[in-house]
Amino acid sequence: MEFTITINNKKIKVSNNEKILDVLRRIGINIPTLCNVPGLSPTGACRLCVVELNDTNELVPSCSTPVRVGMNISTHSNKVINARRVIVNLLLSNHPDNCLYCDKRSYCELHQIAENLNITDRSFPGEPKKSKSDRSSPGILREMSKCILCGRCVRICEEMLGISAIDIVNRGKNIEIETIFKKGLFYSNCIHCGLCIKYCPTGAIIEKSYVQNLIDKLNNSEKEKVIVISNSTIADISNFYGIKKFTDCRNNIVGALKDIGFDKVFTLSPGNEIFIYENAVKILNHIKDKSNNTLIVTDCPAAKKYVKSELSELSPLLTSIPSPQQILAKFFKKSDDSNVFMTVVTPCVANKYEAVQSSNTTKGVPDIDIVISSNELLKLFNTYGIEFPYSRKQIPDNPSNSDTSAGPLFETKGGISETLIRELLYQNQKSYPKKLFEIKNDKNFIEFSFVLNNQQFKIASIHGISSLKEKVEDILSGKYLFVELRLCENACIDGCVQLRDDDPDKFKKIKKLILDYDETNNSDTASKNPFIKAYKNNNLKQK
Amino acid sequence: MEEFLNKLPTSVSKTELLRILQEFQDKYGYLDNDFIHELSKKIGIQPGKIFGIASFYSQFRFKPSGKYIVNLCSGVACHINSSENLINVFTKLTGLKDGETSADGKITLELVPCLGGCANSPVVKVNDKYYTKVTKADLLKIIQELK
Repeated sequence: MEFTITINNKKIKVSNNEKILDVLRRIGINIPTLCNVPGLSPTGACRLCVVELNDTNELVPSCSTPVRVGMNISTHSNKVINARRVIVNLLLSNHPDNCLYCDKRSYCELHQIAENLNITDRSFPGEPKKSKSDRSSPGILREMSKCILCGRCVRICEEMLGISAIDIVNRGKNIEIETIFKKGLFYSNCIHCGLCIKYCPTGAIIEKSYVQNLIDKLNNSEKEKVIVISNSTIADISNFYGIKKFTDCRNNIVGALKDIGFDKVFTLSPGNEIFIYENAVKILNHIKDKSNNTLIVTDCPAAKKYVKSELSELSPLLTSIPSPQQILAKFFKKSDDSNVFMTVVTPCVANKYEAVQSSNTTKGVPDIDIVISSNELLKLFNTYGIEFPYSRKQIPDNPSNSDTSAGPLFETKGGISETLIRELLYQNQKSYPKKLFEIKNDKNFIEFSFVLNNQQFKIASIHGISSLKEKVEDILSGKYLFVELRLCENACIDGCVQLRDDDPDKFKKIKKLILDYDETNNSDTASKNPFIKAYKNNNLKQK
Repeated sequence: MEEFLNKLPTSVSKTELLRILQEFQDKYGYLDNDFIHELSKKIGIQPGKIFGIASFYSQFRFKPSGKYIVNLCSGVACHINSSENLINVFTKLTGLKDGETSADGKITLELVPCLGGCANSPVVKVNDKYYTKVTKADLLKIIQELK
């Protein structure tokens, strides 16, 4: 049913079950919110979104109040603004004022809202909360004194992921966001996906930073310093500085990193390509053996942990190929007493967790010495005063100098499927149609079929936990040859610790950069890289 | 614990969570990590969530308690009738603060918001026994008996 209501003296058409806030957002009225996350259940916890109902002079939270016939709403009346100011003042009353040393700084939503409401003084002098932090996770740092109890992280973890690693614990003034028995994230069922970092409005949940450790090592380590940059990071920095061509930005970054002091700079592409190649070999054998199982192909450490702990019936289906980062770590650090200091730059928090897993360590030392995020890489560049486009361009070191475009493409949504099908067809019949899989599709679940050896195969590309849960039975029934699985809904290019940006469509621009690169490149499947050919021959020899 | 879990029907409704937690605590004294994880598998609520829900209620304990659980009320009515003094005396004599258990495993002190006996405040509860209009002397006697 549709009817009209009055908002700020204007008649607005609304439909029956809309919430007031959704209507306001739709018609472009800006209301401050702290606890609201579009798509998740409204809680009305922060009360910043209050609006005034003119008939009763009542203040109601617009996020959880549905529209009613005859409503007459003021969104910025004096009463409303005063109420919002009181709320923010109260939130700030026990907030530790160490914003100068807070990682969130100008990206803090609480800070932004306080500024917009002209709050310049502490009007309720409360005692600042004492610092209490959870440093157990290698990727996620929780500083609970900065928490405003909006509950976004709790709802993300519960409603979006079904994990509930953190929940609201205790009652009244003792309320806090905590893990089970308050033991810390590392000891809970957290999958270290980092979505809570992405959604936290303050500095209460941030990524653990390793930039300073990296800088210390750069200056003090005698070892050969190697850095591997994911293609998502390159594309993100390229978009950030408005560089139109993917390879231009890549070469710029390589030049800059060499000037900072790295001995060798690589892209993640060789790792991606070995990952694709190994999976293709595995799938072709799988077809030869006439197995009917669906294989799950994923490089996502968070998705792997989720499948292993929450959907254990699916875990035998995972192809046990290590992730591209770890493949390269094994490649660069061939011996135990390796003289290589390896850094990886990724858009992903879970990679930091993956690096400390026992399977990825040698004698207790992680094979990848330091994992930093795209965000931290930008900090590194800022520390050294580097701006892009950087004057010095350099080609990445061998084997990254012969990259195919399958490497970057792999990191986009649907990229595993696209690059893997290309590789399967190439290994089998040396030819494949370009753009065979609708990678531009933004849906979280895509089905696709293709013909290999006159046999029709179905595959699926699954992004996000909710899509995975819906398809568990299809996967178990062996309906697909393989499924691509990633936890982030827009894959690695929209990872949780990419550069901070308010642009909700950023990932589309990053994807376009990579797709353009793929379109203009003829070397576009893993096996076309001479490095992979050598890797293949080497493998054959060993066998 | 296994026995307790086996007695539960194969599929348990989520709405029965609190009842099950209460029954378990009555039998075993507190909710432990293993139990919460096992119950989680059975009831389909994540362990972190069960902990969150249980922690809302002051009746649930997450570590073993002493033989005698002493509840001192810190609610409004008792507070007005000097329950704070009682709490200080108790802490002085036994060395126990809120939530702590004595080394010999005999006494656990738990402060509670209300025991439902405001007319007879201050109220003290030891296991299932209520003491009303408690004076300092009464409290000393209670502690003597427990020791």
